[in-house]
Amino acid sequence: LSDPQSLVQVDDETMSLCVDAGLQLHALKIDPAWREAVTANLRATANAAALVMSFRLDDDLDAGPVFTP
Amino acid sequence: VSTEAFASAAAITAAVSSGRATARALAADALARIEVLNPQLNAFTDVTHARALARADQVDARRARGEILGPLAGVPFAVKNLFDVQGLPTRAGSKINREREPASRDAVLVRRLEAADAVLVGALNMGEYAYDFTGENAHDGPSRNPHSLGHMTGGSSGGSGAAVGGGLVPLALGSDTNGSIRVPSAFCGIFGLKPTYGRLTRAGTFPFVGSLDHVGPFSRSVADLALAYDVMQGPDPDDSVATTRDAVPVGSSLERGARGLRIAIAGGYFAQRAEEPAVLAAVKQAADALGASVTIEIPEAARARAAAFVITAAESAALHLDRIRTRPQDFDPAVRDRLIAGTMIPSAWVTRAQRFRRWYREQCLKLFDRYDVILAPATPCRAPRIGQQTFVLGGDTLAVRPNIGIYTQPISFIGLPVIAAPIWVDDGLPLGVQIIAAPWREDLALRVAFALENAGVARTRNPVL
Repeated sequence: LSDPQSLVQVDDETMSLCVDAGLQLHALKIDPAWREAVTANLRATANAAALVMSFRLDDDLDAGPVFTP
Repeated sequence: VSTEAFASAAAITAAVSSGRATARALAADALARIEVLNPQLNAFTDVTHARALARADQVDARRARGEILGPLAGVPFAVKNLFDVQGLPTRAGSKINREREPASRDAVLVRRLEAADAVLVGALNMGEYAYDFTGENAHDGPSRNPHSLGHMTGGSSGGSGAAVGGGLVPLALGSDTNGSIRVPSAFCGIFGLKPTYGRLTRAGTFPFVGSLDHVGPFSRSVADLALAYDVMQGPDPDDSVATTRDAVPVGSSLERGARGLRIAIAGGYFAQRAEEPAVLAAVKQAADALGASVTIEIPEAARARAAAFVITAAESAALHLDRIRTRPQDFDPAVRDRLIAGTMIPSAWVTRAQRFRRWYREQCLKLFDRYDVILAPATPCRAPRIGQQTFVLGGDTLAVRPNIGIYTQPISFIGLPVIAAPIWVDDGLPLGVQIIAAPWREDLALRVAFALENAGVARTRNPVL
């Protein structure tokens, strides 16, 4: 079994660092005025992911979409 | 709007096939209604005037030659503007895509409907790149709810809801990734069918989230949904997830209604966060009419919704990354900011969400050993006002745009077939009930919807426009 892992509760400063890293990784340039909304959206997804990541799953469970050759 | 504007597709095809009406006259009527009413509803972004009349003439000419016409003879229809329409750039609600080359051929489902002698009259407004539950669009303006023009149609197939609910056409197509057929159906008071994932080909439509995207019809009657659905079924090698199963025509089974079907009501998650009592009252009306009293819990529905949320954010961001990098200023700001955030999602979240999807599917399929159909609310509220940014849900103030689909997302997440049926609990705006069946059992959901329609519980109302 996978160990259920809740995501670490990320504070605003850390979330902001995640946004910076993501922008650099993808060579994205954004208007500073967009930043608050981008960060809020990433926070919302992190909250959703926390719910998913905290659920115990068997290791042999396939991902949903399976490629058919 | 005249009463004739609300004629069903079945009535239209009967009239055209018998010679009581011509396809041309009906197409001209639809085009005239669009011209008069679209300035209010903003449902259409493109009207294929010349094409529609030419196509209608072909249908009439075939009848004049004594040919037997198809099951949608002379039925005007329109499609969400993410469907390819030959000669139009497939804008998918965006500013960027309208610079694309015009589509060289129609989407497969457009071709299948026209092969049944339906007549395409145009393309419909939608939320940008389908990332939307509101029906608002920063470039084309909001589509407007035919029952209250100051309210949302719901999205992202908002134009489809407005066009069918407003009597502009009896039939429209839309797409549903997380609820984009069911939410506009509920808000606009019409019927919508989101089939099983893979049942109807998506070839020739602009994608949003490939692992969750579905397409399906809207109408004002269950029989019309079935008519359209039956002519659209069939395999298609051009959609990698299109089923190779045989088509299962449903039209002939509607009359069996809900007899003998085991029907349950989704409780738990689906009963806890409704914004107003009317939401649950709508489900109760449907359940009472069907004699359903057993409440069940769909396991881990909240987590399913969360997983769908994560997959949607990540896959859509990956799809649009190049456009987000090079032309961010050309996006709807609300979509842009979600897509930018979506590029930053760790892959472990997405893969875990997809693995959870497998687990959740197995649990939900067990429910269908005991029940044929499950009822659930379609939305947590009635249509919000256009421009409304937040609403209160279970005591929390939440953003409207990502949260209207809390009841639809756990269902489409595993591709279950669903009908959204319109319920009017009072003189206010309509609500919708989801009629959910096991994979590939669209027939059962349609039978239950038909029973509710015959009982007068699920029904459309003609708006005053």
